[in-house]
Order: sequence, then C-alpha cells, then structure tokens
Amino acid sequence: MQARNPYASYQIDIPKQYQDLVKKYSRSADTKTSPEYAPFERQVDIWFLAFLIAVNFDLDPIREKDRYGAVSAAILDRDPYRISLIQICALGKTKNIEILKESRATFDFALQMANAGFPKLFQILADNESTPLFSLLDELECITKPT
Amino acid sequence: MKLRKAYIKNFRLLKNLELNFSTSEKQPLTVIRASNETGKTTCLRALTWALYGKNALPKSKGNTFSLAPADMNQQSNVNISVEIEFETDTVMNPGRPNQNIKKKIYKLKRQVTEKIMPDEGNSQLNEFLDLYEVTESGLKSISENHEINEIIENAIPKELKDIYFTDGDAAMSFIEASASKGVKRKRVSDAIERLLGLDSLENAIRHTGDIASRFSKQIDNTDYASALTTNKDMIEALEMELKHEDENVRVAEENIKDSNSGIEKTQASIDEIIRHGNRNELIKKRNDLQERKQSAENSGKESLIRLASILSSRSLANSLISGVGMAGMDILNQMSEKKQLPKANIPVMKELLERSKCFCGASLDESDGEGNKRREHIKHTITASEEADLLSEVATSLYYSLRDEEFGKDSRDVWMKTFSDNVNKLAQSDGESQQCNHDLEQIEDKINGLKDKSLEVYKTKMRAHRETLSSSQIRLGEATQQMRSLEAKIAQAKSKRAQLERKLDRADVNTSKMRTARIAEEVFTSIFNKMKDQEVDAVSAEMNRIFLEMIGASKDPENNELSLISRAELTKDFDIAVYGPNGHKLNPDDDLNGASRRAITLAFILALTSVSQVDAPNVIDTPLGMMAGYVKQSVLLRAIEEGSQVILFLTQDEIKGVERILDKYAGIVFTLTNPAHYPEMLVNKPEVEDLRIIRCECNHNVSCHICERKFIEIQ
Repeated sequence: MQARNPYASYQIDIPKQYQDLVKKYSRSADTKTSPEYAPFERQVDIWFLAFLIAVNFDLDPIREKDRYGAVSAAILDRDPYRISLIQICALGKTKNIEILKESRATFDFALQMANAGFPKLFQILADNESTPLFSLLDELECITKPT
Repeated sequence: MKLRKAYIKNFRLLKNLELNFSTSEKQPLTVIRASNETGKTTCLRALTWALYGKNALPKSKGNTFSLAPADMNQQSNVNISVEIEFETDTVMNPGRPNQNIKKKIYKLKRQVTEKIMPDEGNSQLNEFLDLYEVTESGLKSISENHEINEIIENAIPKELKDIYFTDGDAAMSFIEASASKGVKRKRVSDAIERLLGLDSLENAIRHTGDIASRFSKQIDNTDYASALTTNKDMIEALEMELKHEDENVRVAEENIKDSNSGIEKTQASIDEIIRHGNRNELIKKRNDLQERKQSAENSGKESLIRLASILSSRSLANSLISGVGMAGMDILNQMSEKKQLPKANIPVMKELLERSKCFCGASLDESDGEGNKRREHIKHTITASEEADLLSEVATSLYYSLRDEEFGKDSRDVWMKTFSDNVNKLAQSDGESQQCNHDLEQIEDKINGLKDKSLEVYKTKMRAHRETLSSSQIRLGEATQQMRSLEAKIAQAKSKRAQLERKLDRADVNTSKMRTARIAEEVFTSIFNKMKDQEVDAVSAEMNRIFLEMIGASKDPENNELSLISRAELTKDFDIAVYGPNGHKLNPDDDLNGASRRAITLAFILALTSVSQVDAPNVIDTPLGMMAGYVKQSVLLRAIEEGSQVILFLTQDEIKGVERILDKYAGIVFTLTNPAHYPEMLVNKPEVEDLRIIRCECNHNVSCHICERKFIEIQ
C-alpha cells in the first residue's frame, strides 16, 4: 500500500469545457440527483473514470490549457488505490520505471489521460437509449469484456 | 137469576124430591112449608151443592160431608144428584146499540156416587156436573167446565151463596152476642164484600199485592244503574287506553318500518363501502403501499447507488486498466525478481519498532536483550533503506500495493456481479415500485371514490337503526299484547254492561211491574175502600130503611118520643148498630128482642141484596123465627118487596100470622113432611117405608094425610 499521497499538493484540473458535464454527471453539486442520471458521487470519480477509459482505449494523453481546478488531489487519500493505479498505468504505459519517482509526471499523465477520456465518457453518458448510469455500465461491460 | 125447579135425589133425606119455585113477578114468593127436621136445611145444602159443589157443604173435620141418605145399605154405592133448572137474564150484545136482555133457561145437574162406609166415612166418587141450556130445539149441552162455572157464577156468585141461601139463624150471626165484636164485624164486612163483589176487589187487591210482593222479591236491590255507570266509565277508560295503545302500535310499526328502511339503506351504503373498501383500510393500504413503494424506491436507489459505486470501484478500475496495469506489474515483477525491490518495507519496520513483539512473535522488548537487539537491527535496516533510491521506494510501495490485485477478467467478474445483482435488485425494486404505484393508483381511486362518511359512521348508524328497530319491536309487542288485553277487558266489560243493562231492565221491569201492581193494589184498595164506604153507607141506609119498616119504627123518630129504635146503622167498622131515641146507641143483644135482632139481620141481608142489585133468589130457611105480629109481617113483606125471588122455608108457626101475605104473594106453596115425625107430630102414618122427605102440595091453608100435624101441647 501506498505510504503517502504523492499527489496531495496537486490540483485535479479538468478542462473547462467539461465543467458543466462534470457537474451534471456528478452528485456533488446536487446530491438529490439520482445516480442513474448523475452516476458519479464526486467530480474526482468522474475524472478518474475518464482516466481509466482513456487507459482502456489506449488514448493519447491530451493537454488542456483551459482548465479549472475541480478538486485538490489530496482527495486521492480517500482512495489510495487510485494513486497506485495511476502509477502502474503510467509505468505500464511508458514502460519507464523512472516515471515512478516523478510524481508530477505520473499525475500529469493521469490528468492528460483523463482529458482524453472525457469525450468518450461523456459520449457514453449521453447515450439516449438508456440512462447515463446504465449506458455507462453497459458500455463498460462491453469494453471490459475479455476478447 | 131465578130458580125454576130443583130435583133432588138421594141427597140425605131428600131421596126423591122435587122443588119448584115461583118465578112470577107479582107473586115472587115461594113458600116451602116444613117443620123442623124436615129437610129445610138439607134443601138449602142440596141447592148450593148443585151449584157450587162440595165447597158449599159444611166442613166436616177430616171427613167428607156425607150426602147419601143415612139409611142406605153399607158398602152400597149411592147415586146422588141434584138438578136445578134456573133462568137468567143474559145481556145480548153487551155494549152495543142492539143490546138486549134475553132470558135463558138452564138445567144444571150435579151427581156423584157415594160409597156407604159408615165406619170409615163415605167416599165420593165420580162427581159430574152437567149444564144444559134449554132451547127451543132441545137441550144444548154446555160441556166446558169453565163455561158452566161462568154461567153459575154469573147467576149467583159463589161468594154470595151464604147471602142468598141462608137461614134466619145464620143471619143472626151478624149480631149474635155469642160472637166477639171482631167476629161480628168480619161477618158483616165479609157479607158486604161478598155481596157487593168487594171480595172480588179484595181478591184483586190481594192478588195485586201478591204480584207486587213477588215482583218486589224479584227486584234485585243492587244499584245496577250505578254499577252500569261505573261500568260504562270503565269501558270508556279502557277504550281510551286501547286507542292510546293503538297509536303506540302505529308509531312502533312506523318506527319499525323506518328502521328497516334505514337499515336497508345503511346496509347498502355499508355494502358499497365494503365493495369499494374501507377508507381507513384503503388509507392503510395506501400507506403500506407507499411504504413499500418507498422501500422499493429506496431499495432501487440503493441499487442505483451500488451500481453507481461500481464506477468508483477498484474492480472496475482494475478491469479497465487490465492491459496497462498488467504491463506495469510485469515491470515491477521483474524488478522484484531482480531483487530490486526491497523486501522490507520501511513503514512496516517502523511499525515494528512500535511493537513489543515482531509479527513473527519474536520479542522486540527493549528490556529484553534479544528484543533490543532485534530493535537495533530494524533501526539499522530502516536507516539503510532510507538511504535507498526513492524510485525503489515508490516502486516497491507500488509493487506491494498492487501485487495482490487482480487485473483482467477476475476483477471484471467482481464488479459485474455487483452490476448484475444490483440490476436485478433494481429491477425488482422498480417492479415493486411500479406495482405499488399501480396499487396506489387503484387505492387512490377507491379512496377518492369513497363517500365522505366512513364505515364506522354507517356502522354507528346501523347500530342506532337496529336499536330503534329492537325497541320498536319490543314496544310493538308490548302494545299489541296490551291491546289484546284491553280488548278482552273491554269485551268482558261490555258483556258485564249488557248483563247490567238486562238486570237493570229486569229490575226496572220488575220495579215497573211491582209498581204497577202496587198502583193497581192501591187503586183497588182505594176503590175497595171507597166502594166499601159508599156501599157501607148505602147498605146502612137501606138496612135502616128496611129495618125500621120491618119493626114499624116511626119514620119521624125525633118527633116520636115513644119510638125505641130511631135508626139502624152499619158503621164504618161494620158494626150493625141500633140507636134509640136521641141517638142513643142500643146494644142489640140487650136492647133488642129476638124478633128485632132477626129483623135487623134480615134487613141487613136484604139491604145487601138491594144495594148489590144482584138478581138472585133469596132462599131463606125460617126467616121469621121469634117473630110475631107486625114485625113478622113487616119482615115478610120487606123480604118479598126487596127480593126478586123469595123462597122461604117456613114452619107452621112462622106461617101463622102471615097467611094473608102468603096468599097474596106466594106463587107456589108446598109442604115437606118427614115421615119420621110420625107418630109424635104427624097424624097419619106415612106411606113410605124409608127415611125420606115427602112433598105434598098443601099450602099454608090446608093439610093432607101426609102433612097433617098434631097439635102438641107439652105439659
């Protein structure tokens, strides 16, 4: 297990263009919204799933300049395994062990991968055939299906 | 009525005797000359017996008055008969304009068979009474006894027989001294009453009195009028009560009807409610459904949350980065294999320093030598490790944190199971929720369809209706029962009323009858008294007239100081009083001689016959006894004058001194002789051999071999 959060001092930035969507699909802004329509409890959760989707789809990281600070990365203390997954994904993606000692680099990797993953994520969430949650889960079921 | 003749057979000494009587108006006198014990009295009895039967005979104590001749053989049956021929004046068509008087002649025959039984007393058998009217065409039988009696009664009333068939001695009974005053008065009173028909009136008085008494006894003294009033009041009260109960019945029936109607309607409402459901129950159901729905929704929400949590789940993340993750783990694994990753973990070692024992159980106690040693080693290792490359640290930390993680299918299975389970749960929840919604809709519809009043209200209403129904039914029963009881009481009271009315009627009738009878009695009594007074006065006056004429008293006694008797009077007390000069009352016993006494009694009898105006013969036996001279003649003349038919049985001595009167007025004279007087009194021996009275036609002037009598002078 991780002894500490190397990303605690960092800010989870999300492209501004996705700010509304992030808020829309997360219940932090309106806790009364049904999970079915706002599947994510927190913005960090939607950010992290965007990261994971990007990793899954092997998307290229995308740098965004116009971003907003959604939440402090210290929030990752609550889910320390996410830190591990960011690191291992960075390692697995880069194949460079050295990246592990570069917390900033791995964090950026996460940010950029999330940036790449947001469009796909929002696309899935916006599927009218079902509610955002079930659209997402169904898609996730598909994309994680072993080949 | 006038006697014409009589034929007497076997009536005591009168074995075969015919008597005939003068009916001449100019010579109304019949003289039957007969000495003493020559059957004079027997003739009277024969005549009265013929007319009136055995009641006219003297009362013989315990024995029947024997009629048969005494010399008849014992044990023989003697036929006894007396025939009387008489005439009456009958008013034809009474009360009508063509009313006239017709003379009718009747023949009466009474006969009886008498068995001679001297020791035991003769017994009379087979008494017959026949009456015939002598008509131009022959004898006309009058067969009905009541008709016979009526004719006889009209001729000479039975009550008057002793007046019209009397003897001088019997007449004396009115004034004879031997009788008490009361007896004499009664005799006079009786004679007046009989002759004047007052006894009939007296009988009528007695009869009406008896009737009144009988009705009086039948009168129930119960105050039926009062009882009837009470009864009627009771009936009225009962009928009013009946009416009241009838009203109660009507009200109860109406209440029952209303209650039943109410029950029916309320039941319909209740049924409707039950059909639709009880509001409260519906609400409860709704609430339950809402709870279920909420629960389902909550469950659904939880499922959603759990589903949503998959997005944040480690297993999903592992499954999403499976390739990349595994690639990274490969690198770390290589490093681990190459021992490039420290086995110890500084944090772990630092944690050990905080413990007294190692994870393996070895002591790490500072007071313990071995433990302290180990502690020093750990410190050394930590220092050494800290002195290692940061990369190694991170890589090592990463490696150990992810060494046991599953990437790929296994991690997918984890979150997929969660996905599947929660999808199912969500589906269930949704289904439950939908069903609840459906049910809620229905319930809401039911609730909305319910009326405002709840079932409890209707149940309360139903109870009220049933209570009213029950009490009304009880009341109806009570009222009906009461009505029946009242009707029975009314019927009973009405029956009693009818009974009382009948009794009242009867009482009234009896009272009315009693009163009528009493009134009749009073009227009769009044008439009787008045008549008696009037008749007494009339008789008194007539008696006085006749008597004074008989005795030759002065017609102006006040101016004749020599008159011993000034007047005779029949007092209101029925005393025959005689008054001397100056109105001095004389005692007939002391102050009158025998002739005067006999004269006054005959005068009384003649006065009675005169006043009564009964046309009947005066048959008198020895009326002139003790009389002589003027009085005898006067009495005889008065008798002839006052009577319509005078039949006198006179002895030779009585005839002496009145021969001229007999010559003048006697239409028939004959003599009766008793052969038994031979030889003491009769000159000649009779030609009969048995004891019988013999008749000869000698009058007072002649005698024959049968009737010639000796002149007897007793020394």
